[in-house]
Amino acid sequence: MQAFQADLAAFEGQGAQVLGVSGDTVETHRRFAEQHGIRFPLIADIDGTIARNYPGGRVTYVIDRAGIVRHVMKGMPDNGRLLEALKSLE
Amino acid sequence: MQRYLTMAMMAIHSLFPLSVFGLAVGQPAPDFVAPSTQGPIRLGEYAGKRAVVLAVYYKDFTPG
Repeated sequence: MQAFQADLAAFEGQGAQVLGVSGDTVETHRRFAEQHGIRFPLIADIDGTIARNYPGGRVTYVIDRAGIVRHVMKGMPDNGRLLEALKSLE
Repeated sequence: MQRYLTMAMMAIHSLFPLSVFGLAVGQPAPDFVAPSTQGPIRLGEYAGKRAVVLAVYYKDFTPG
Protein backbone atom coordinates (compact mmCIF):
# COMPACT_ATOMS: atom_id res chain seq x y z
CA MET A 1 0.00 0.00 0.00
CA GLN A 2 3.00 2.25 0.58
CA ALA A 3 3.79 2.08 -3.15
CA PHE A 4 0.24 3.18 -4.03
CA GLN A 5 0.58 6.14 -1.68
CA ALA A 6 3.88 7.10 -3.36
CA ASP A 7 2.11 7.25 -6.75
CA LEU A 8 -1.27 8.44 -5.48
CA ALA A 9 -1.08 11.77 -7.33
CA ALA A 10 -0.51 9.92 -10.61
CA PHE A 11 -3.50 7.64 -10.01
CA GLU A 12 -5.69 10.58 -9.07
CA GLY A 13 -4.39 12.41 -12.11
CA GLN A 14 -5.88 9.60 -14.18
CA GLY A 15 -9.19 10.22 -12.44
CA ALA A 16 -8.98 6.99 -10.47
CA GLN A 17 -9.90 6.19 -6.89
CA VAL A 18 -7.43 3.88 -5.15
CA LEU A 19 -8.91 1.51 -2.56
CA GLY A 20 -6.96 -0.98 -0.45
CA VAL A 21 -8.73 -4.07 0.92
CA SER A 22 -7.55 -6.61 3.48
CA GLY A 23 -8.97 -8.61 6.36
CA ASP A 24 -7.50 -6.23 8.92
CA THR A 25 -9.82 -4.23 11.19
CA VAL A 26 -10.47 -0.52 10.70
CA GLU A 27 -8.44 0.10 13.86
CA THR A 28 -5.40 -1.75 12.49
CA HIS A 29 -5.85 0.00 9.15
CA ARG A 30 -5.88 3.36 10.94
CA ARG A 31 -2.58 2.66 12.69
CA PHE A 32 -1.07 1.39 9.44
CA ALA A 33 -2.33 4.40 7.47
CA GLU A 34 -1.02 6.79 10.10
CA GLN A 35 2.40 5.16 10.26
CA HIS A 36 2.84 5.20 6.47
CA GLY A 37 0.94 8.38 5.60
CA ILE A 38 -1.62 6.50 3.53
CA ARG A 39 -4.36 8.91 2.48
CA PHE A 40 -6.59 6.65 0.38
CA PRO A 41 -9.24 4.47 2.07
CA LEU A 42 -8.26 1.10 3.51
CA ILE A 43 -11.26 -1.20 3.62
CA ALA A 44 -11.77 -3.71 6.44
CA ASP A 45 -12.98 -6.96 4.88
CA ILE A 46 -13.50 -8.60 8.27
CA ASP A 47 -15.70 -11.50 7.17
CA GLY A 48 -13.80 -12.08 3.90
CA THR A 49 -16.78 -11.33 1.66
CA ILE A 50 -14.80 -9.06 -0.64
CA ALA A 51 -11.89 -11.53 -0.84
CA ARG A 52 -14.36 -14.22 -1.89
CA ASN A 53 -15.79 -12.04 -4.66
CA TYR A 54 -12.33 -10.82 -5.69
CA PRO A 55 -10.35 -14.02 -5.29
CA GLY A 56 -6.71 -14.86 -5.82
CA GLY A 57 -5.00 -13.50 -2.71
CA ARG A 58 -2.86 -10.54 -3.71
CA VAL A 59 -4.68 -9.15 -6.75
CA THR A 60 -5.26 -5.64 -8.05
CA TYR A 61 -8.31 -4.88 -10.18
CA VAL A 62 -8.78 -1.90 -12.48
CA ILE A 63 -12.51 -1.17 -12.70
CA ASP A 64 -13.75 1.35 -15.26
CA ARG A 65 -16.37 4.03 -14.70
CA ALA A 66 -19.07 1.68 -15.93
CA GLY A 67 -18.17 -0.77 -13.16
CA ILE A 68 -16.55 -3.33 -15.47
CA VAL A 69 -13.27 -5.09 -14.62
CA ARG A 70 -10.73 -3.97 -17.23
CA HIS A 71 -7.45 -5.24 -15.85
CA VAL A 72 -6.46 -7.92 -13.37
CA MET A 73 -2.93 -7.92 -11.95
CA LYS A 74 -1.84 -10.80 -9.77
CA GLY A 75 0.97 -10.56 -7.25
CA MET A 76 2.79 -7.38 -6.33
CA PRO A 77 1.20 -4.41 -8.11
CA ASP A 78 3.21 -2.71 -10.86
CA ASN A 79 2.07 0.91 -10.71
CA GLY A 80 3.46 1.75 -14.15
CA ARG A 81 1.37 -0.95 -15.77
CA LEU A 82 -1.69 -0.03 -13.72
CA LEU A 83 -1.40 3.61 -14.80
CA GLU A 84 -1.10 2.48 -18.42
CA ALA A 85 -4.22 0.36 -18.00
CA LEU A 86 -6.07 3.38 -16.62
CA LYS A 87 -4.91 5.52 -19.50
CA SER A 88 -6.16 2.97 -22.02
CA LEU A 89 -9.68 3.23 -20.55
CA GLU A 90 -10.14 6.70 -22.01
CA MET B 1 -8.71 -34.22 -27.51
CA GLN B 2 -7.06 -30.88 -26.71
CA ARG B 3 -9.91 -29.10 -28.47
CA TYR B 4 -12.57 -30.90 -26.43
CA LEU B 5 -10.70 -30.10 -23.24
CA THR B 6 -10.59 -26.42 -24.19
CA MET B 7 -14.29 -26.45 -25.02
CA ALA B 8 -15.09 -28.14 -21.72
CA MET B 9 -13.01 -25.57 -19.86
CA MET B 10 -14.83 -22.74 -21.63
CA ALA B 11 -18.20 -24.27 -20.77
CA ILE B 12 -17.24 -24.61 -17.11
CA HIS B 13 -15.86 -21.08 -17.11
CA SER B 14 -19.17 -19.69 -18.37
CA LEU B 15 -21.02 -21.56 -15.62
CA PHE B 16 -18.74 -20.57 -12.74
CA PRO B 17 -16.99 -17.39 -13.83
CA LEU B 18 -16.34 -16.09 -10.33
CA SER B 19 -15.97 -18.93 -7.91
CA VAL B 20 -13.74 -21.30 -9.85
CA PHE B 21 -11.45 -19.22 -12.02
CA GLY B 22 -11.47 -15.79 -10.41
CA LEU B 23 -12.89 -12.53 -11.59
CA ALA B 24 -12.04 -11.93 -15.24
CA VAL B 25 -11.64 -8.90 -17.48
CA GLY B 26 -14.97 -7.83 -18.96
CA GLN B 27 -17.06 -8.95 -15.99
CA PRO B 28 -18.99 -6.52 -13.79
CA ALA B 29 -17.13 -5.78 -10.55
CA PRO B 30 -19.18 -7.24 -7.66
CA ASP B 31 -20.56 -4.48 -5.47
CA PHE B 32 -19.83 -4.34 -1.77
CA VAL B 33 -20.34 -2.14 1.27
CA ALA B 34 -17.66 -2.24 3.97
CA PRO B 35 -16.14 -0.05 6.68
CA SER B 36 -12.91 1.78 5.90
CA THR B 37 -10.49 4.28 7.40
CA GLN B 38 -12.63 6.95 5.70
CA GLY B 39 -16.08 5.66 6.64
CA PRO B 40 -18.31 3.11 4.92
CA ILE B 41 -17.54 2.53 1.26
CA ARG B 42 -19.85 1.20 -1.40
CA LEU B 43 -18.04 0.29 -4.60
CA GLY B 44 -21.13 0.99 -6.69
CA GLU B 45 -21.00 4.66 -5.71
CA TYR B 46 -18.02 5.19 -8.01
CA ALA B 47 -19.95 3.92 -11.04
CA GLY B 48 -20.45 6.70 -13.56
CA LYS B 49 -17.95 8.89 -11.69
CA ARG B 50 -14.47 7.45 -11.38
CA ALA B 51 -12.43 4.42 -12.29
CA VAL B 52 -11.32 2.37 -9.29
CA VAL B 53 -8.03 0.64 -8.56
CA LEU B 54 -9.02 -2.03 -6.05
CA ALA B 55 -5.93 -3.49 -4.40
CA VAL B 56 -6.65 -6.67 -2.46
CA TYR B 57 -3.79 -7.64 -0.14
CA TYR B 58 -3.12 -9.95 2.75
CA LYS B 59 -2.17 -7.86 5.73
CA ASP B 60 -1.18 -4.42 6.97
CA PHE B 61 2.44 -3.83 7.99
CA THR B 62 3.73 -5.97 5.13
CA PRO B 63 5.61 -4.68 2.05
CA GLY B 64 3.77 -3.31 -0.96
